[in-house]
Amino acid sequence: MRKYAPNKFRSLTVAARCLALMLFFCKPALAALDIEITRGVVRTIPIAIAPFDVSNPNGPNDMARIIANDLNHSGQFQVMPQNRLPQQPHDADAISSDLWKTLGLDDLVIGRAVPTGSGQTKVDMTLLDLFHSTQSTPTILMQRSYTVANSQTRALAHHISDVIYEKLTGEKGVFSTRLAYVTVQPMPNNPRHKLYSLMVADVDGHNAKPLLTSTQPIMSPDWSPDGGSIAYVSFETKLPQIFTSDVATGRRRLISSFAGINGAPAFSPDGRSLAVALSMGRTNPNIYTIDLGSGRLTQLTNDAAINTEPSWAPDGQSLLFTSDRGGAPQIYRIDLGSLQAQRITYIGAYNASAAYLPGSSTKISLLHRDDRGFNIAIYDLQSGTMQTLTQGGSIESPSPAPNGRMIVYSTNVGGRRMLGMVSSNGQVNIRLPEVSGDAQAPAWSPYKG
Amino acid sequence: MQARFKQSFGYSFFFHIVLAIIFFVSLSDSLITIPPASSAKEVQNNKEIVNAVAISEDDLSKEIRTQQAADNAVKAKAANEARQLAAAKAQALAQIQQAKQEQAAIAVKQQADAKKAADQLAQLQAQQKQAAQQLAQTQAQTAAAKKTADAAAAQKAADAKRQALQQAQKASATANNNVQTQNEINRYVGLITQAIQAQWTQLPGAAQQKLATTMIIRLAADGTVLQVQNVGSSGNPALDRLALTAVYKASPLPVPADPSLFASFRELKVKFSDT
Repeated sequence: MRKYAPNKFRSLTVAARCLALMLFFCKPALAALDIEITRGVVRTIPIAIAPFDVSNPNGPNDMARIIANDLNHSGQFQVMPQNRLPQQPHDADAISSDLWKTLGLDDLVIGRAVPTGSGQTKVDMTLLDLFHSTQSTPTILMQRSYTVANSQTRALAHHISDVIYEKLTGEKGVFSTRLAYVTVQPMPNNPRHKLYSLMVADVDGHNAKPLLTSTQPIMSPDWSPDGGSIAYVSFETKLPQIFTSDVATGRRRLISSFAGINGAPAFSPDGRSLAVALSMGRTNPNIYTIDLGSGRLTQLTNDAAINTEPSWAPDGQSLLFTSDRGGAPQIYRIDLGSLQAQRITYIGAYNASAAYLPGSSTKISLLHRDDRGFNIAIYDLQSGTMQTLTQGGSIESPSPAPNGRMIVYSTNVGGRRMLGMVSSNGQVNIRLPEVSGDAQAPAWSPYKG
Repeated sequence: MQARFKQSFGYSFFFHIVLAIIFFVSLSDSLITIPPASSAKEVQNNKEIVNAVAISEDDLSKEIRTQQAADNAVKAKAANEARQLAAAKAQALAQIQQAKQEQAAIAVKQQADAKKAADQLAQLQAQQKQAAQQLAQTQAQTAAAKKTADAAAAQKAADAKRQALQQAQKASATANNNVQTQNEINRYVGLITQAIQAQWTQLPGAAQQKLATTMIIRLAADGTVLQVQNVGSSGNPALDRLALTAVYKASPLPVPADPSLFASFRELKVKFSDT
């Protein structure tokens, strides 16, 4: 036995070597072919939202409609109209993927909203991926359950839009943020006089509530970075003054009441100060900052030109503002350390209302006038290019969303001012629901608003 | 002065000639015409002629002496002038000589300087030459090495080529088939790329984001996607999912029907990347 052992061992090594050799020659045949995909198709995600309301699936307040509206308005989704849905399922196991796939959909949202009595509603939501596997049943990407007061179902719908948006695009949604804007309508009992209201509404224009009403103009609302208060200009004493109002309680605080113009308040990113335009009894305004804690005033610009519309850089170290010191309104940037102002825009004879686009330190949204009138444009500080997003020509007061994907504005429609939104690539442009009278000076809240 | 000298000389010459003629005439007369003691009168006459001639000769010699004195004076004057000229010449010469010497001195200095510069240049050139020689040597070594390497490579290449040729000759038909196979594979790779690309959604907002997702795909014989495995995430689950969706939406993928060709398509490595 001992005699054969080495031979046996040798034959084993030979076998192993043969195997290794075979594997070596087999390997090239097993290597995967390389495919490089370098260019996709820029388009929105096709999605369907099945009705949530079991008892009244086609009601106007069905959460599915609110979600569909949100996603459609985001510029990132294409929501299939409800009347084209082949089924109205509420449960995932009742769904055949193939039926929905043939409609060209990527994803499907199903849910169920059932009143529990005692003024509450129980809501289940499921996000299904129709192309996550080869199975004929869809893959569940996300499943959530909520119980909310009946009055909160609309807010919950916006929240569900946010989680769907973030799951499918990788970015935070803005559907739970709010808009502040000013409405102007004739006084009910005296149509020759006007009534001004500072409104706060959901981002889809619904759920609008007045924060302040006045017989004199209200202008330039701006949100604090925590979304807790709004600064604005009120002419309630017939002279412009700057106030802040607490959004939850409505409590007001007078910030600036200097001689002449008190205008264009803008909260600093840390919320501790306001940049404002003050004329201090002269004919032209200059840019100042007011420390909200100490009330200390700091003058930033000092010349005879009109300097207004200050807007903070994300780092709080500089401001953009509009000035006609060069003869026509253009955007300038002033460094808070050196107080050196530098002209930013050179394209076009009129640029105003600048703001950094959130999520980008190189792009600013602004109001740009060219041969098509006043439109929203994105100016790229790096490339020096100006991209016009709208065509209307009567745009005012652009204010970007906190994720930088959409910009809200006011525009003239048939002699009335209305609110609209445009995606920051210009592909989606929508109107917000009509209000009575004019809607102007919109300001998009931060995330926590 | 010169004209006078010329005149005096002319006179002197003329009178010498006249004298010579008279001399020869009188001689021939005496040879021919003088009869020995023919008549006293005749002798008297002859004597008078001779005297006359003699007188004339005296005058002539007197004249000649005067002339000679004049000549001498002229000569002396000329000599004096010549001496003066010579002295001037000598002085000029001396000056020229001096100038020449000075020039020579300068030239010598210049030459010395030039030599010095030349020496330096030569030294420099020598150094350069040495460096060049070193370089040349190095280059030569390198060239030699390269040549050797080239030769080796050429040999190797030639060997490889020969072997390849032999192999190719051995199986030219197979090689032809291989080319066709490769073309066919490439064609289907293109078709699959197109099919997935058409389904890959790039969100309007996400277009600027850098994305690189790699997945391994296993296919059934009809091109149906059986399994997808993410082997390199972009770091953004939402964007990874859009790539995954593109693969499943493109299923079944276009694959060759020939089973031997399909073997290459059983497993694909798909890389999504923004350009």
